[in-house]
Amino acid sequence: MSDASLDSLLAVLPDMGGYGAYVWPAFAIAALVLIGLLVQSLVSARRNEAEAATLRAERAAASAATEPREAGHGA
Amino acid sequence: MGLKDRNRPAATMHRYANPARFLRLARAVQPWAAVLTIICLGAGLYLGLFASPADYQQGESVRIMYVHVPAAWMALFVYTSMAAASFAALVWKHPLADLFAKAAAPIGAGFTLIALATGSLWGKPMWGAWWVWDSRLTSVLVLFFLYLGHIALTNAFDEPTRGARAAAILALVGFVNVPIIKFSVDWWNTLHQPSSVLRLDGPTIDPSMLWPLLLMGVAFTGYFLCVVILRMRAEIAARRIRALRYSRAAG
Amino acid sequence: MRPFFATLRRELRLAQRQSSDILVALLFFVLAVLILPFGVGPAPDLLRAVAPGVIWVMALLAALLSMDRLFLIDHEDGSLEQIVLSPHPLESVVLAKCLAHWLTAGLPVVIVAPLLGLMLNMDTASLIPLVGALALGTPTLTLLGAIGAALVLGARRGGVLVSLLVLPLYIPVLIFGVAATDAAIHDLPVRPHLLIEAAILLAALALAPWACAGALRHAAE
Repeated sequence: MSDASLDSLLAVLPDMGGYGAYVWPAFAIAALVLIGLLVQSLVSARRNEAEAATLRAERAAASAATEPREAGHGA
Repeated sequence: MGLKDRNRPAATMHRYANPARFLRLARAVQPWAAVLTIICLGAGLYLGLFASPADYQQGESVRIMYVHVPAAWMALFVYTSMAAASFAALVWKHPLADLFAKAAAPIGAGFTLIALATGSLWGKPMWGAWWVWDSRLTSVLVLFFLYLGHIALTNAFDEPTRGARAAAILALVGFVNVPIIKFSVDWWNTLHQPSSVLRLDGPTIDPSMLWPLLLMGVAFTGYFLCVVILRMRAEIAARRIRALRYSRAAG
Repeated sequence: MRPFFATLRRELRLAQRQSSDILVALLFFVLAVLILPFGVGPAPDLLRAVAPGVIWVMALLAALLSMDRLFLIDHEDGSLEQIVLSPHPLESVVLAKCLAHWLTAGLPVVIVAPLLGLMLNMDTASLIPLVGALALGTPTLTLLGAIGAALVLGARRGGVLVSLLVLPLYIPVLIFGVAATDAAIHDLPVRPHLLIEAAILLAALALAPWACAGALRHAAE
């Protein structure tokens, strides 16, 4: 981010008695870290759970396909 | 997480060791924790940023406290919970305790990073330097490295249970070391202000500042609960994937 | 006690056979300290002020240098499993290995440290606390490092990982070690710092073999 756009961003926010340049980045860093962790955790939970479900469905389908054949051999 | 049942027989603990049971419990807890987090975060941010007074010495810069202090609390709380979980993992071989420690470490590292970064932004106008080799800063920095070491060790093994057990021992060794580090750097150098909330003679902080601080603390705890459950769910699913792939390759 | 001395004898004999390894670690320590004047300049007052810290930091790195190999050879050739399965207490074997490591890696550092102190313009009076603190501190470095070495057995990039795990744990040892020498330079009492250093050593002596043995049992599984 360029200095000019940073200045204009800080101009919009309350200036915090001259401490705006310290207060707002502090909250921004905290938000960045917390949201980043949340998104990363959400994405990996979704992805892994979906993959586990498809794998299990595949295996269920495979065993459903093989079992009758084996039963047929037996009979 | 079954960590509170330490005194009861191991059988009660293992009732919660079942991932299916845990997942059911997690799904029930998660929405409540999320709602609690959002409400407390909103109220805490409003009170902290707009409705609370400026400090008579530090001016408006004191508002950094409302992220800095709760993040520092969480940095210590998460490490303590990881050490407790590691103890359960080593003594009772509780499988979910391993998962908890693995899931909690990155969140704890995140809170520690926030505490360090916001402390630095608070220190610049107050002390005139981005970083000072003060005892409190130094020991939190060491805590950050302990978290990073824990994460690195957990992920350094091909077999995940080996990594979990090694990391559990490291977490306990680090836990013994944390108070030693604290005392050693306390005597080494100090500048950081003493705690004004957690004191034997009651808080010395004004209620108008204490409320947003406590609300933010509750919000961060709720956030931790939400994200740790998410990460544990992801890890349980990852292990299931590994087991399914293995059985497919073997069968 | 018998497995303790048997292990100690075996380790020392091994070290004797690979004595060039000991020499390399010691040379690293000496060179790393003596390269300092080229970095900060040869001003005697400056060198005297930073000498204790530099000697301590380099002693720390020298201890780490040979640390990751403490259990690695036994792990790779399978003898670690035999040690773990044998009826002798694993803790005493760990302690013997640590003592052997200190005798070959820590003690030489303690012996050459005063010489380096003299070359960095330290007063002769402050050399005794330097040696005392190193003698109490370097065994702690070995014991804590052994935990790291046991934890990374079987891990990828174990050598680098040991440093990452162990360096944060070394900080208290470093602080009180340097404080003892600094106190001597400023004519302050040295004893309290040495006593704390000794207390840390006793705590490490009690806890580290236990943690190490736990890690080794998991590694041998």
